Amino acid sequence: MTITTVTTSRASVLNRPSTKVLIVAVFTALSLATDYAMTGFQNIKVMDTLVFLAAFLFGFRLGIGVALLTRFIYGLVNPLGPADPITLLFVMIGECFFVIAGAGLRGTFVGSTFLRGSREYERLTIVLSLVGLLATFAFDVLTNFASLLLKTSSLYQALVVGNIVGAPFAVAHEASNALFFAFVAPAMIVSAARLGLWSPRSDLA
Amino acid sequence: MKVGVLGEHKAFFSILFLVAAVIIAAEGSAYYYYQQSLGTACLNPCKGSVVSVETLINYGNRTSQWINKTNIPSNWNFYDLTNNITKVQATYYGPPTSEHLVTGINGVHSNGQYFWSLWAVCQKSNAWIATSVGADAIHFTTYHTLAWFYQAANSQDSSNWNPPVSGAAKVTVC
Repeated sequence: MTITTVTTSRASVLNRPSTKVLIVAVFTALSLATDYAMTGFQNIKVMDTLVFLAAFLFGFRLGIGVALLTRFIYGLVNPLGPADPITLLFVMIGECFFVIAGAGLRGTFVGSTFLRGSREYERLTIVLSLVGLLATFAFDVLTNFASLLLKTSSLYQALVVGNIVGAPFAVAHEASNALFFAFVAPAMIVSAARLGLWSPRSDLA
Repeated sequence: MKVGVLGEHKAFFSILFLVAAVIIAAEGSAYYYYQQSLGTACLNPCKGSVVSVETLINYGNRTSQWINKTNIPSNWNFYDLTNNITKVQATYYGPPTSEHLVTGINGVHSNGQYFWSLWAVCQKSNAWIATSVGADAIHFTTYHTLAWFYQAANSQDSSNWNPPVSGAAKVTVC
């Protein structure tokens, strides 16, 4: 009897195209499920945190896949009706800010400090919260501008009026995302690291 | 001596805190300005005065009614007026949005793709426009003819919606 031992490293498993598709599908499904579940809460969504995490844990390309797919599906299959093409385009672009934030932080001291298991989680929590706030602000400025793009007589007017009229929604979005990034994101990063699903140097992109 | 994350990355943390402070200041100012604009839509000279507003309720089944009110306190918003002249069902969202989502008027409720859309007559172009803000944010300094139109819409894009008066002119920019 011959026994063949096949050794497959975690890294090679994570680098398989099928695994990448699976990761995008799982994160997209999670994002959509939480979106629909939280329909009653205006502008409060865990989706942005999940998109950020996909990019932070698995790289830029997978993050982009999750962001575009989630926004495209949620834009078309929405309880309030499908978004118009301009809004859809801008929210898809805006969601990429969370991918840029996640991919940008990945590989920095933030990731390695989490892995080190140091007692400085609270400081990293502040970093994640502020990065979440920054990305959400960029998203809100862009999408509030887009919402009035075809309804005002100048781009400047669309930017200013859009962001004043949209301020209450932006405040809710930014405050909730700052909290989600502070509490949900660190827990998921630590969990992923402990399960061996992630290290700052593992790059699927 | 052990240096913490904060000490090792002073510049990074400084920039991050600075940008966050700018964002909070900008968003706080926008929110304050928005709240102020709601509270001061009626300026001092008009305080205590009354205005006339025409409201069209179009039920979408070829039934509609015009309601002309001439004694509306000028500090009311359109939600206040609607609540005064009809039987409204609405969901209230507290701060920061502080707004009502109107789900039913006089017993006609939102159902599937059917919902109550909000319109106003743009005086400049004398045409109907789907408002970009909710009834709570509409004061009677800009619009004096408004409408609720119960219609089915398969898109959030208001440029595809029908105006509340069949065949009337419609604009997307006022």
